[in-house]
Amino acid sequence: MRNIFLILSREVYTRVKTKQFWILSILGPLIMSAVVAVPVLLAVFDNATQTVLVKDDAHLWVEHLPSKENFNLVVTQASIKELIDSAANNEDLGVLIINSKIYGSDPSKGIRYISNSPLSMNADNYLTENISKTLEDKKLEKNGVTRAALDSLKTPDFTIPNEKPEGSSQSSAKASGLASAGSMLMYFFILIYGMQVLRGVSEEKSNRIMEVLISTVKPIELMLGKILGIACVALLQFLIWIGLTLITISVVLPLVLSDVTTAGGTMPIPGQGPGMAATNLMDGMGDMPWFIGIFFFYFIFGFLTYAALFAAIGSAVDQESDAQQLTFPVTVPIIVAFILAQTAVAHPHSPTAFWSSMIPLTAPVVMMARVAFDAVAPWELALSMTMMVLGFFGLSYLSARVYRVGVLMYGKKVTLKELSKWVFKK
Amino acid sequence: MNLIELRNVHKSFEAHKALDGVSFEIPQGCIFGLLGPNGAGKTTSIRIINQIIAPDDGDVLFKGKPIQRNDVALMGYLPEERGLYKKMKLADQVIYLAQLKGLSKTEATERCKQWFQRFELEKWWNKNVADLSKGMQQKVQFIATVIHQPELIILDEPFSGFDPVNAEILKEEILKLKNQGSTILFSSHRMESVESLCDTLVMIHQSKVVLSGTTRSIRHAHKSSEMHLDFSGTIPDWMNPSDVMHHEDIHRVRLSLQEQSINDWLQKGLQSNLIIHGCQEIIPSMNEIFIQTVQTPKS
Repeated sequence: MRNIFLILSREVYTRVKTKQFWILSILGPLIMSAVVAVPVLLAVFDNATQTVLVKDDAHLWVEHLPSKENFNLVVTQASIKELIDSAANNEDLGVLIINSKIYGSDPSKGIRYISNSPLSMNADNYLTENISKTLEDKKLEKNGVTRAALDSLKTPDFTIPNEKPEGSSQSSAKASGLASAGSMLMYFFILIYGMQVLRGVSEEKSNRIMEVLISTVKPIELMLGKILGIACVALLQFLIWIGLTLITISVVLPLVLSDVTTAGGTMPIPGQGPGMAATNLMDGMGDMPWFIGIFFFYFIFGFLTYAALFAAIGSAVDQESDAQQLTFPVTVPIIVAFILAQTAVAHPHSPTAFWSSMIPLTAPVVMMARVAFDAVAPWELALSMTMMVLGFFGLSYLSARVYRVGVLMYGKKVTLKELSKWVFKK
Repeated sequence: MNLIELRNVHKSFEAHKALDGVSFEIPQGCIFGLLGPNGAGKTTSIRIINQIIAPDDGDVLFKGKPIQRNDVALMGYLPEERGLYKKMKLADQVIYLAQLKGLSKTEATERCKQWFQRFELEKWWNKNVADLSKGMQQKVQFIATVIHQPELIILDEPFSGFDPVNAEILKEEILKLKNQGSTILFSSHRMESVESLCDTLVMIHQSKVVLSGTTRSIRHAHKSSEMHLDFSGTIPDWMNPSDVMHHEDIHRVRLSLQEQSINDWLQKGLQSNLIIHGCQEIIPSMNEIFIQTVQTPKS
């Protein structure tokens, strides 16, 4: 036990001390927040004004042109030829020519935009939206219907509030946010830190310090110390990410963006990635405080199980670059689990979802999706957790058997078949 | 008393037989040489002693009892392939390894300081291994091997990578450790270092023990019962030497000791009025014995 603790401490100490750890810890959430913030900020700080000359022969905009900030529409009576010439000579100038064909079945036949640079996505969206609304208004007017009358017919967007018999409520949007966030975080951390275990083991081997170490401690102690140490580092980084993401998203972003929303800028698009996942997770967690407990259980056992497999592979190769071929069979289940988790979000009660949440290699990722939808009976959870614990002990036992042979094996290209033989070696 | 005893140890790796009924004893407090050409089974024997691998058959005794896992804490091992963490400070590394061997952190730090002073490595305390010369890395690795004052110190080719000055320092340290009561298992294929350091030795060749005993007894067992006699004057007819060399006016003849002793030959020479410059029984060096043993095909 003392040795495992010593090895664990060394792992944590040497890893947490590195610049990379802190860079990743701090930049991770910042990058993720940036994914949310950058489009908004760009919209705010994009001050360049675009001028478009409009030749409206169809009299589409009778009363006023739909100009807005940074997007200036100017009516002109010049001939089409003159307009094309001026667009050709002026890099920033755009010319919009509208004729009566715009009222036909395909409005695009009645509209031309001529410029050296194409319309920006925002301007394009804005114009098409405005034109189609104006066309709609005109058609309504022709048929004697007012816009207000039409609006009163429409139903606003709504979601179905899900209720439980005992009274508490849960929104399925939140649940699916929580599900995909939980399974994605699980996937990312297992993969990233699993690879770190592999790298750490093969580093000790290629350093040749391995022989000194295993003449001192048992291979299983060395393996457990390493994977537990890296698990601690992963947990620490995870907590830093959650903390920082919360701070950036709940404190910093609203400050920066407070005037953006009032100025009518683009609203943040729900992003993908661990940073957003962390926010989704925190968001959904308010409804399900026990989710965090389950998350950590699966996180720890899922990581340890995979880490043991990665350690076995790391032990079998002379250097990390040889590991790729052997890593494949270990990364496949986690990728499959991630795909299965997507189906589990759609059908949390399906047999696929059930069985994949029982198998220790897929359970950590899939279970997050199912638990978020509250689709797991207590006995299922208990069974799955038992399977996780058994799976961890079983697979780490097998891994340790491979590890103990692998660490002494140099100069041999190892195949999977070979690895399975080592398991039974005396 | 024997610190380590191997009894009829067998070990195979798939089709390859690494040890085939190997037995030897390492007496406590001696410097024990484990010799043999590359691939003879030296490293396998060492790995069995320090429990990195288990024998297929046979017994290993530590102080007369079957060896236990805990016994490795009483050993220090310097493998032939040296290795340290590249991105870890030297002192941290040594202290870490010492802690794994059971020392407390304070104790390990204290001893680490002493050893760094002894090898004049103090200013490298906070440096990474990558910043050190190979010789200095070797010193650090040696410190890590002996810092916990092990009863058995296993040194696999300890002098490789050392310049003559540092090799001499290391040799002194090894002798010092022996005087302090440690037993040293010294594995090598460099005979000159073996000859000057080892009290007893075994030689393994093709997975079997082919020689064992004290350095003196082995050399005497391999002597060819011949002597060299250096003299000036003409070579008398009765001498009938098996080999003659001339250096200026001195002859060096090789004479058989099978029927006559050194004294007999000297007496005869004096009677013939030869001017004798010297005489010496021919005892092969360990190097010669090594080569001779390795080259003799096994029956």
